[in-house]
Amino acid sequence: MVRRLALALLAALATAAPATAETLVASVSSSRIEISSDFTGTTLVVFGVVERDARTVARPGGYDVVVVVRGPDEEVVARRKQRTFGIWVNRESERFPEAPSFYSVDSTRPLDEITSPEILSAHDLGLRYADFGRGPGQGNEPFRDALVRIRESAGLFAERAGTVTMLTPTFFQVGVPLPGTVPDGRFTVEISLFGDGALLAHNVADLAVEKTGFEDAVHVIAGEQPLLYGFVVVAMAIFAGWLGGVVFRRD
Amino acid sequence: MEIYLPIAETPVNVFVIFAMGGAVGFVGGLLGIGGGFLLTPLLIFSGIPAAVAVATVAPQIVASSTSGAFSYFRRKAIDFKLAGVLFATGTVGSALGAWLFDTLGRTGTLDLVISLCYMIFLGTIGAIMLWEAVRSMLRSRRGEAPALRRPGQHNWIHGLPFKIRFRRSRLYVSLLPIAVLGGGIGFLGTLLGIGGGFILVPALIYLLRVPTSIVIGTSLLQTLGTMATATVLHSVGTGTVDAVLALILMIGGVIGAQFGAQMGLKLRGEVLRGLMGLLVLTVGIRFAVELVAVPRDLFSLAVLSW
Repeated sequence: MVRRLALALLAALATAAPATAETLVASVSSSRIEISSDFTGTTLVVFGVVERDARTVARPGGYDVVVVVRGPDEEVVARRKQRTFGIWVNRESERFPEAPSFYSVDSTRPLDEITSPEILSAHDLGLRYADFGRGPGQGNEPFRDALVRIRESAGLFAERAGTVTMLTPTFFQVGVPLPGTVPDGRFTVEISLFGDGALLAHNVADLAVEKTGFEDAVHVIAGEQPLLYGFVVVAMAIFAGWLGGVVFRRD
Repeated sequence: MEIYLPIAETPVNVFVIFAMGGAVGFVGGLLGIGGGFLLTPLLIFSGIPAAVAVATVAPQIVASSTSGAFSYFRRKAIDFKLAGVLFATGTVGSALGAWLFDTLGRTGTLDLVISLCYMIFLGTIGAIMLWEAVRSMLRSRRGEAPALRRPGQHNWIHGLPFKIRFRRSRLYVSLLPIAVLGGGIGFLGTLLGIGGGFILVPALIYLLRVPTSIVIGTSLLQTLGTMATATVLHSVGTGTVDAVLALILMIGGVIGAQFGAQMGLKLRGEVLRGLMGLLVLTVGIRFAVELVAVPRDLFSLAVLSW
């Protein structure tokens, strides 16, 4: 987090510097997404423009944009099953203290064509380089790969190249799909502008994903008043059973 | 129609869940059981987390046993004292079960223990039921009279101390086997998401010699109480009871049970018991296969905190 703040600061300084720098102006289609009972996913539109002035150096290679949507971090444990006495049992495990609950990267081109692995891992960009609270290269690669693979197949992690489109050489747009299983909490939308392999500007927007309506009420009561919740569920069950017995009474 | 489950935190199709509740309710009504041992695995196999499935089936069992218990109550076919003793000891078992559930969940062995227990219990009980039903079917085909047990017959259980009298059941029996039975079923029910009627009913008839007319009503009342306790304990413990999922299952289950019960009146007793044994055995084998077969993914994830 501290590193990301420092990064934002650096980016701000970079944009403030005269002569060489571009400014990134970006926005998100909505800063708040509501999960209600009929929520089956939505698309978040991120768009922006690269501002140049007369003194900005020419970029014949054009610009590259990387958009990362990151959900709140959680502590995740990945476990590996091994055959023990004929049955499959969870044995080895590895903890990831800061695994994002949601992580998607959209970019104009494949990430390794945009810039170097060092820059990608320094800025948490891409499924291969993002930091989950325990960096790669510590003998935990199988577990880290499993974390990425399982979350990818659940639609919670994604890396898509070519999805950010440059409508004009300086105007970009991307639709980031958020699936029905998207977790709630405070998200960040990080937009990075690259040119000639260097990070030119960086922009962070907040995104709140909130449960609303009946589901939210159920979730909140279950979390804050579990005893009351339990009794209400039991009362509901007894009422449903009694009603069923009365409606279908045969004797 | 998709609906978002607030505790399972996943969208599901209402009609699929409703049909599952209805189908299990139908089978339950047909065989005179709650069907928790079918519904919990069905939910697990369809992708609901095991912890949510087990905890959410508890209120569904409350609903299905309530409708049954009311009808036996009107016929005065319930031994309240016996049900009370079973329930009191069941609560102790439930508390133990909920504690173990919570502990296993944190160490990542909950799914394994649930699968193992299902395999052992359902496999054993299913095989015994099927064997017994097939034998009695063969006997009746050969024209032999079934071996009747005389109600006055006593076994070793009736020699145990701390006896109390149950007037409604015309029974004078030790407290110990009742406590073991109630506690054991409370424990298993809370840990595995089963009502335990399919264990309790034969145990009351064959071990304690409770009159058959009173057994089912009493067992239903005990199940109702134990599962209500389990619901509250799971809500407070792991917080995995999903009210929305439970409600859909209940509605499906209550309706399905009515059709099942009507169908059940038309089938012969040993055929019903044979069917039930086969069903129980199948679910047990399904768990065994799951445990032994090479998993599709050796890795699994669990969120510890956020």
